[in-house]
Amino acid sequence: MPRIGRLWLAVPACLITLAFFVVPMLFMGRVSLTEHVSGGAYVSGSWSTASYHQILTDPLHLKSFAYTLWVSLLATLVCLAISYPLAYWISRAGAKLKVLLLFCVIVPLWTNLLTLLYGWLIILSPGGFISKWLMDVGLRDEPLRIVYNTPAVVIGLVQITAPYAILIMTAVLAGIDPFLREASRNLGASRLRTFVRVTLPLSMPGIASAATVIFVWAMGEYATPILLGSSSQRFVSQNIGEDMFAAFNWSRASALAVSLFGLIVVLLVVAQSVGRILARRREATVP
Amino acid sequence: MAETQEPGAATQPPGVTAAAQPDLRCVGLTKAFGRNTVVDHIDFEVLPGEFVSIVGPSGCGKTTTLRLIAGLEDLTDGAVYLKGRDVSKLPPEKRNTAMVFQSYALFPHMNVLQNVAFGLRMRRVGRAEARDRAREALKRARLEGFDERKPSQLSGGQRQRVAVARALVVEPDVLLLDEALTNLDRRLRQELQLELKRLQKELGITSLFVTHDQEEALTLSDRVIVMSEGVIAQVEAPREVYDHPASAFVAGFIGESNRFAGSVSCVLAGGRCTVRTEDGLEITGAGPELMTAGMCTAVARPRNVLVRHEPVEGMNNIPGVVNVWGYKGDSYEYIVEVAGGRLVNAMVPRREAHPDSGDKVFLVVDPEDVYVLPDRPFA
Repeated sequence: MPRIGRLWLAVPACLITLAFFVVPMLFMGRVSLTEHVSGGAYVSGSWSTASYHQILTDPLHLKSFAYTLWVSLLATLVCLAISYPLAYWISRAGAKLKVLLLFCVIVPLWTNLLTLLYGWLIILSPGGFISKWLMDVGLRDEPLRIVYNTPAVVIGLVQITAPYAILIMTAVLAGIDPFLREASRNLGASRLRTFVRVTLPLSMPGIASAATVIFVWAMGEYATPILLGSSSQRFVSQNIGEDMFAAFNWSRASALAVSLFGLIVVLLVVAQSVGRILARRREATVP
Repeated sequence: MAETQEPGAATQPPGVTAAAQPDLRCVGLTKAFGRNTVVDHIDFEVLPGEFVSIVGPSGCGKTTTLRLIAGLEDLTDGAVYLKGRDVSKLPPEKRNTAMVFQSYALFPHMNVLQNVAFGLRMRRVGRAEARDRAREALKRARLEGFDERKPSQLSGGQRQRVAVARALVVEPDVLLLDEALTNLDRRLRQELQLELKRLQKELGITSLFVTHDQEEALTLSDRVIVMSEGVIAQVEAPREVYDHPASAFVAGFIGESNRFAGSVSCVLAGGRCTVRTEDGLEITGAGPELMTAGMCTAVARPRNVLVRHEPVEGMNNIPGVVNVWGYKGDSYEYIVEVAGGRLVNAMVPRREAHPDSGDKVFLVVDPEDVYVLPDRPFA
C-alpha cells in the first residue's frame, strides 16, 4: 500500500535520532539517578536521587539556572530586535540587493565558532579597537571592558543565532501576500498602521519560531559563556562540563543536563499556551 | 502617440443631470517603467454614479491605470482629480478610493466582520458604529451570519462578496475593481456580475471596472473604455462600441468579427466603398469615415454573415465551401473557406436549413452590416 510505503522513507532519520539522541538521553537519565562516589564517574547499578537533591538545594546551582535563563531571554530579545528589522528589509529588497544581504547574513555561519568568539574577544577587550576608538575620540577616559561579563556573552549569543533568526523571519515576511499591504493602504491605513495591523500580526509565527530557536540554543550554549563570560557567573552548561571532566561526577552532570532539558521543555509549553490564549483573545474583538 | 479620438468626455448616461462634475478625472495620465511606457498620456472622466469599464488585452495598461488612480503606483506624468481635488501627490490612504483586488486580498488573520470593518476603523469610526455598519454591508451582500468566519473558511464567491462589501462600506469617492470577477467560474461570475450592478446602482457609487473580458464590460457598464498599448482606442456606451467600432482593433476586440484587410478598390455613392483584399476578395460596406483610398479593414460580425446556396441581389455575395460547422444552442456556427484559403465565421439561425461540410455556398452580407475602418497605429 503506497501510503504505508512512504512511511519507510522516515526510517533512516528515525534510526539516527534514536541511536544518537534518544538512547544517549535515556542513558543520561539513568546515570543521573545513580550514586556518586569520589574516584569514579558513577556507581553503576546504583539508584539514588542524591544528585538531583544536590542541585535543587545548592544555591550556586540554582543561581546558575537563573543566570542561564536570564541571559538566554536577554539574548532572545536583543537578537529579535536586531534581526526583525533586517529581515523586513531583506524581504522587501530588490533581487540584487536581496542576494547581497543574504550573503552577508550567511557568511558568519561558514566561520568556525571559536574563531568568531575569539574575534569578539579581540574587538571588545580593553586593548581592542572599540575601546581604543572611544578613548581617541574622547568619549571615555579609561579603557572599555566588555569582555568576561554578561554583555559579552549576549553579544556572542546574538552573533551565533542571528543568521537563523534572520532567515526564518525573512522567509515568513516574504511569504506575506504583498497585496494585503496594498489593500490596507488603500483602505486608509498609513505605512505605520499597516505594519502594526497587518504585517506584524502575520509575521508572528516567524517571530515565535525564531525566538524558540534562539532561546533553546542559548540555554544550551557552551563555548560562548566559557570564552566571553565571567568566572563568577556561569551557565549550567559550564557546570556540566566541569562535572564531566574536572570533578568527574557524571551522576550530577547528567542530573544537571536532564534538569536543563526539563526546564526548557516546560518553558516552551508555557510559552505556547500563553501565545494561544493571547491569539484567541485578539480574535474576539473588532480591531 | 496622440489618439485621434476625442478625449473621454462623457455624454450623459441616463439618470444623470446635465453639467454634473465628474467624480473622477484623469488628465494626461502617464506611467513608464524605465523605457517602457505602460500608460501613455490618457484622459478620461467618470461621472457621479457611473459604472465605467476599462477593457483591453493583457498588457494594455488598464490595471496600471487603476493603480495610478488608487495611488499604488506613482505618476510619471499627468494628474488625477477625485471630486474636484487633485490627489496626484497624495498617498493611497488619503485618497478615499477603495479597491477590490483580483485575489480579493482579504486579511487572513481577521474574521469577516473585522475585514469589512477595517476601512471604517482606519477612518476613526468608533468600534460599535463600525461593527453595525459592517454588519449592514454584509447583510446587503447576503452574507449575514458570516461575521466570525475566517477568509480561509469561505468559498471563492463568498470571498469576492466580502471584498466588495469591505470596499463599499467606506463609501469611497470611486470604487475601483481590478478584474474582480476573473477568478470565478462562469456561472458564479454571471450571478455576481448582476449582483454587483444592482448594488452599484442602489448605492450610486461611482465605479471603475477593469477587465479583459469584453462581454463582461458590455454587460455591466454605462460606458466602455477600450485600451490598447497604453492608449485609449474608444470611449463610448457599450452599444456604440459594439455597433460602431472606431478602429479595426476595437472591432476585433469587442464582440466577434471577421476582418478583411485590404485597400479601397472603388468608391460608391452613399458613402460606401469596396474593399479588395490581396486574395481578390471584394466586399462592400461603409464606415465612420469617408474612405477614398489607402489600407483599411472591412469588418463583418458573424451573426450578420448569412450562409445561402444562391446569391442574393444587392448584397455582398462571397463564394466559398463549408469547412466545418457546429451546434451552438440557438444557432449553428459555421466556418466557411473562401478565396485564398481564408476562413470566415458565419452563423445560421436554427430554424433555417443548414448546409453540410463540403457544400458550395454563398456568404451573404448586407453592405449595411459591413464596417470599413482605416488602419490605425494600434489596429
